[in-house]
Amino acid sequence: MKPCLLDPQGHFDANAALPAEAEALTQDLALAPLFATMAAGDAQVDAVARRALFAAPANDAAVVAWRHAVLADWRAQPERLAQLRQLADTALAAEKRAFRTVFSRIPESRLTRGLLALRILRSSLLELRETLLPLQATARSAGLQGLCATVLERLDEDFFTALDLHLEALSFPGGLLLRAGLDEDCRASAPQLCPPPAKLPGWRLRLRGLLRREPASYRFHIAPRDEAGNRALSELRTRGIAHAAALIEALVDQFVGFLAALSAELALYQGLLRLETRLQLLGAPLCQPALSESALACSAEGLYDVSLALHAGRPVVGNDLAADGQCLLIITGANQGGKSTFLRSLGQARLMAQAGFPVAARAASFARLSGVFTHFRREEDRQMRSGKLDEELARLSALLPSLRRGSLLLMNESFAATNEREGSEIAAEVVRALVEQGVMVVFVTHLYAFACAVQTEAAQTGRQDVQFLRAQRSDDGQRSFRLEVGEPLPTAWGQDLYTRIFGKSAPA
Amino acid sequence: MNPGIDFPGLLHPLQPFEAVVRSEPVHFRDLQLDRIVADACAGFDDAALAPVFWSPQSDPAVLQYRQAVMQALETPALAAATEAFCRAMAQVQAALRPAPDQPEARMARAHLAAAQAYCRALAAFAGALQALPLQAAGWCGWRDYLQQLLAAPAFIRLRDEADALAAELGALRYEVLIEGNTVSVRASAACEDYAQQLAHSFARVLPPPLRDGQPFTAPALAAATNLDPVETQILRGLTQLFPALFARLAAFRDRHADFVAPAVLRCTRDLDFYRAWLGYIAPLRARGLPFCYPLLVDEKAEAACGIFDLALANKLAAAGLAVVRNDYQLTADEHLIVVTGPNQAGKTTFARAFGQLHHLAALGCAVPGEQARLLRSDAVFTHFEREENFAELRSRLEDDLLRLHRILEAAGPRSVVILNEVFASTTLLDATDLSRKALAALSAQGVLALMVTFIDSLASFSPATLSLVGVMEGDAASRTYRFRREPADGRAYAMALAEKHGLSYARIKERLAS
Repeated sequence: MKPCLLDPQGHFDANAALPAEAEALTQDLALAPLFATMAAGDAQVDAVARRALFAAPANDAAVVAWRHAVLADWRAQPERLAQLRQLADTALAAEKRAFRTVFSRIPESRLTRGLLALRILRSSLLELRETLLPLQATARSAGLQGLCATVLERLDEDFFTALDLHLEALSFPGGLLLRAGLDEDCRASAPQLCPPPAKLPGWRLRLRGLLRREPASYRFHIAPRDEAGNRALSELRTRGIAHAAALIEALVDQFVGFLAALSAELALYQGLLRLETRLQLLGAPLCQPALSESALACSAEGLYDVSLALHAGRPVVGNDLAADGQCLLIITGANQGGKSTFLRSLGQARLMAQAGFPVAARAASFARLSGVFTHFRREEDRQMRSGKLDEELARLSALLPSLRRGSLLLMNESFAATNEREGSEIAAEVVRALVEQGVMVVFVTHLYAFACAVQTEAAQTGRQDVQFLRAQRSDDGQRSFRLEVGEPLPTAWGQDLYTRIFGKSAPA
Repeated sequence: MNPGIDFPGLLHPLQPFEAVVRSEPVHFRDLQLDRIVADACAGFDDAALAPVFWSPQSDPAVLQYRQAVMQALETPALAAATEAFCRAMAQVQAALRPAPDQPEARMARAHLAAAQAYCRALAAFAGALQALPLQAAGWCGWRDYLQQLLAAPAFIRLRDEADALAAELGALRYEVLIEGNTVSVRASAACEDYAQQLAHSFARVLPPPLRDGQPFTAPALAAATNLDPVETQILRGLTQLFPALFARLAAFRDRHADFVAPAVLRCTRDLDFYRAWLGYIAPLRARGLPFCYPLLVDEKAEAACGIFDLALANKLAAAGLAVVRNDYQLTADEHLIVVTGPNQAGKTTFARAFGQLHHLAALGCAVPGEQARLLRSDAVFTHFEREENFAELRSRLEDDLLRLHRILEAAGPRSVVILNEVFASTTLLDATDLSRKALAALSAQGVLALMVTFIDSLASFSPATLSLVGVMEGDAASRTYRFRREPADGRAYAMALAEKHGLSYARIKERLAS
């Protein structure tokens, strides 16, 4: 039984481990402000948001559409969302508390524990049913309708009646009745639990004994102080109820699992609504693009770095991107021209789009990716020049097993730790191999020789799937933080920065 | 059981075998046969099995009978069937052992289970034997006996009654009502499995494996020698609730108190002998050491190749080392073997191998060696070095002579006598003289004798003497542990050994001078 709010089959696992590249992605794409905004202090939202975002490569267009629809429903009634989540959390907390106390007091059976848990969950399940009943009428998304259908169909009146009957019977008011055979060793073989007899008041028992001829029975008594006898009796009871106990445990596990998953999935939607609200407050544009059918779709209008916007507290400059069908993007240009920011915004947007999150752009159209990876320069490597290239290469090598056709690799000034000629050679080799294997590469670089070589080759072979972007710079050195389509230039206009910092009095 | 059919057993073709020798023979210790037999009997019922190893047979029919049985048992198919049968019979016998502190009903039930296991084991063994091409007289006889036994009405009655009773007991169902500390037991009508009802009620919510009403695999019950208090009471209750059934159970036990046929019991014991021996030599065989079934003749013109000391082989095999094998051959006239050679050339080992060979051949066992043609001996006598007999206040020489005298009195023309460095505690002259006299006496009685000695001149005692000399390799005087037929040459190998350790006269002077 699964809530299936995040995908039609309920594959999403809120407890799964984060993939290996999660840490690198969080750092390179500056995802911390994003998660912080979504969570607003709620640890569960933070955890499930991370898992949902990094598990995005597993999603297809159907999952994204599913999530958009459910989010739309919750957008209309956020209080219901909060109420439902609160219900699930309360039930789980109560069950956990009870479990601990029972375990400490009663040594005997798993059955007793299971029955107590079921009793505690019963009221929560009833409340859940009542909360979802009105929701079924207003729900428009397949996800929410599916949730209501699951709960209302399976936890119907018959279920609660049966639950009450069994809870009563399994407390064995009239004693525990077992049926067994005799094995070769003269011990009870395969003891089976019979329908528990009802408890009859004393006078009815006596009356029955007088009126009806009871079948002959052999009765014996185990003295309270008989340790061995009591232990033996307890073992027989345990054997007899083993099957029933396993079933009850499974039932409890099912409900607990369902409630936990429900809580996590609702938490995610709360986070998403929070993100939407915040961005709308800032006046920053949002869109909810469906995953495109064409394999290399990659275009956007007004794409901006969402973490930057959240961190700065105001809208930031966006970029237009028209890279449909491109498998290699090379970005060159002036320092502080917004190249890294653009790279980040692209990585964020593609992950968020595929996770069903709102995307930080006016409009966007992205194809399905099999993974998003980053290869940025590392802060701590600035200590020593020697070995830095080593470290970069090692890091890239470690990424290689995960890269496959349909992956996106964002490289920020890779191989800059050596002279331009060598760096260009390495870059050319790496990029050629990756692109041939179907990996989409977006490379921010100052290696002019490399960019030039790619450009020359593209011109010669007449291939159309390489695009060059350049950070804009006006004649007086001002940056617009926008990228435009443009060929690489040998200078990155470091002169501008120099002038700005050292003032116009510096020698030309 | 039916007195009409019987089977003498697998150790003797005509009558049940009873070991005559009731204590370990005197020569066992010298030949290390005590260790060999103890190792072979490990894991079996020692008290019954060891005497079989102690009793050599001289009847050629018996020896041939046994050799054929053992040789057939080397084939894997027969060995497997025999193993299964012996294991089953061991369980049957364990179940039949009296256990006075168990409830009657439990003992009767165990007896019934034992009867069923017995019938099944016999049927399985008979079936397996039918499928095998058997030629040994013993196996054919056993197979035919089993066929007759299984067809006998008494056996069929036992089997059918046991199966019927077991089926009835297996179908017994009872209900136990536990209210607090009070337990009621009563006969059971059919009732539903409540756990299945639970699974059915919650089918829509339970995960797939459980909802389909799969049979629940209960955790296995730990074996226990005694029933716990509740089980005991329940059993008592059942005997009261189903008096007829338990009365039938008790009656079965009385009626078939001794259902194991004596011949089957005998054969199980006999099979232990073969299994023990084959199990003992199996690891050595696996290392490539040869074992064979000797041809037993009435003359002393023996020939054997590839023989080795079994006890030593076992010890060396544990350390992963190889054991040296030897050959020898006696012509029609020779019946005295004189073994000479330097110290530690393996003379005693060879003597032991010779002795073991003859004793084991007289048991009908497979013997160490590639092939052997041996005298069918009736007794083996050994005369090895002993500690000084302080208690009897005799000198060693006196002791040696007395023992030799006893041996000569007891030995017959089919005996094998092994003398290992006798008369060592006297002068060379006396020793030579006494040894010659001993050899003369042995020669006169026509005994097959092997004498290990350091007196080289004895090697050419008479035309009936075979001289075996330990072979040394090259000048470095290293031992090969092999013996060759050649006249003793009296070279001072001891001196060569001393030289090797730098202890010759010249070397000592050299070493002390520097």
